Amino acid sequence: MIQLFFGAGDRQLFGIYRTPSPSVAPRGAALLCPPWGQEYLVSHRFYVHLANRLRESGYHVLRFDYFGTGDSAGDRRDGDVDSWHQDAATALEELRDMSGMSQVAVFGIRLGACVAWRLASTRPDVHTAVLWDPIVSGAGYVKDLVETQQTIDRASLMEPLLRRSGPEVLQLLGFPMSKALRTSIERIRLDEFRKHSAAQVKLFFSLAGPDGPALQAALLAGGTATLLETSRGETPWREDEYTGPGSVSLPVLERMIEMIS
Amino acid sequence: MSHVAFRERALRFGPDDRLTGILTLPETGLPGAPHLVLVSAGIVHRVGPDRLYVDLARAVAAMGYPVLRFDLSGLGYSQPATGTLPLDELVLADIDAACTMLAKSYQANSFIMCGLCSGANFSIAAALHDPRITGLILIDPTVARTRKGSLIHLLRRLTHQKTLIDLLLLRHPILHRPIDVGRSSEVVEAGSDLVGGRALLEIPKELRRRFSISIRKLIDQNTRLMMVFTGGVNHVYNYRNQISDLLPEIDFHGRLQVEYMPNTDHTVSDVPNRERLIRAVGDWLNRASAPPSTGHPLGSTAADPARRELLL
Repeated sequence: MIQLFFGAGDRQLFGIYRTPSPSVAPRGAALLCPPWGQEYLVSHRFYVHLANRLRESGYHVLRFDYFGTGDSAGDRRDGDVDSWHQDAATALEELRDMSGMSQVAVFGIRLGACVAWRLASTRPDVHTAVLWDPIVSGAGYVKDLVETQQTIDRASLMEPLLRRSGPEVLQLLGFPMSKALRTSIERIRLDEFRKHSAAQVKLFFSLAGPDGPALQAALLAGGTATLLETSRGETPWREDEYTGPGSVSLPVLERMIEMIS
Repeated sequence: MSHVAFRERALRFGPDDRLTGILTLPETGLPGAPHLVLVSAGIVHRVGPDRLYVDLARAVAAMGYPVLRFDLSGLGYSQPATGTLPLDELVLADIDAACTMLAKSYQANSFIMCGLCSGANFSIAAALHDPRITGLILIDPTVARTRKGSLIHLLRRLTHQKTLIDLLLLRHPILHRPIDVGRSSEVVEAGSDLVGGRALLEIPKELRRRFSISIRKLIDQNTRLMMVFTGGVNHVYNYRNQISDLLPEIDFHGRLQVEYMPNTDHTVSDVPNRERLIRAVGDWLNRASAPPSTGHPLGSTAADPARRELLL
């Protein structure tokens, strides 16, 4: 395991790079794009285990943090989806350099899935994108976060955190969402997925509902090869609400390995 | 981008290099400054809950203090331990490994432990065993209400809008289970074998006794203490000088500073209060690490008039 800082001097990103286990033949490279906020924290354990299992399966793996998140440089209020896309592109280049692989699989959960899709739809060196419960309506996502924070605030004996956050920053489940970030998230719509990608896209939805089929239809309309799978497996970003890293569902973990492969 | 007054290094250390951490070094260090070590809160990795530890580490390093935040064995990027040590002993061994690495590789000769919640509890346990630890910053350590605190909490809950609505709609939990108020005055120890609120329900008198012993020993060995209590634990700690009522038998000799922050949550997640916490920690560090000849061990006034601290 190699811990590294990479990227431009004024935008240093942190990553964990894993080389394939010596006992298996190298099979490829995978870039893991994290979600944001509380979902980042509670899914972190899943990403660590996913990286470990991918390594054991013969993959070079880079897991990284966007600017202003995790161990990367920057403040919590820095960054938006567009700049995270650029960070992910920087990470992808780093992974290619370190691994020597010319083609890469990308993986993401929630907002991380949206970032992974942007890579897949803009770069020819992404051959597979595995997207777990991607956000298909940014406005709906923000609305859900606000409602969850309101529920927490209603039960609290303190002055509501949301009310105190002001117009420029929303305080949502422990993280400040800047106006720039909010705007960039709210721009995420189904239309974004109608762009063509040469990568194969594998959608994984935790709950049956309209989002999966609608997203698949949008991707197919853009001419992108797409598979959709729905599972009742545990979701690491919902398992433990708001207080700590979620559990790791082994069946889902193994399924992710198969999909990335 | 503004000038960054610190630099960060990713480290591996400890047995078999299984532990991982980020050392944040000041661009200009203070001579003889203690190293701050952030102890994992719960099972959240080294960035800390809601990235609290990153914010603290960078701000404190910019003030001149080196800071290590690391993952305990089996958390974050650190490998699990291979031995059979129980959890509390394993955590102490990990903290010892962190301090030893800093002493050998970075010439650290004294340490201040800082932790939130379980990280605070483990910090206390570490300081009881390691004379190199000269100070503790304890954010929401595990304590319990006093009788006054119980009354305050009960009144607040009874007059809370959600409680009233739930009572009116006959859906409040209090209508569906027996009330247990008998243990409300007990103290829960912040020490080696505690996990969350479990101890509230178990032999609290013994835990209170041990908690008192722990804090008294820390004071006697001249450990400087800063305790922060947030609104996130207002069901347990809900008035400024509650610590005096909790531990009336202890003379703190001016070695304890209490920072009471009732308007923020357990992880001090909102920006204004996080900035306030960082200022308070910085002020405390400057006073706690100053030579004794400069006067009162922890000073006597807050630099920030918006802060309302309690010196004991």
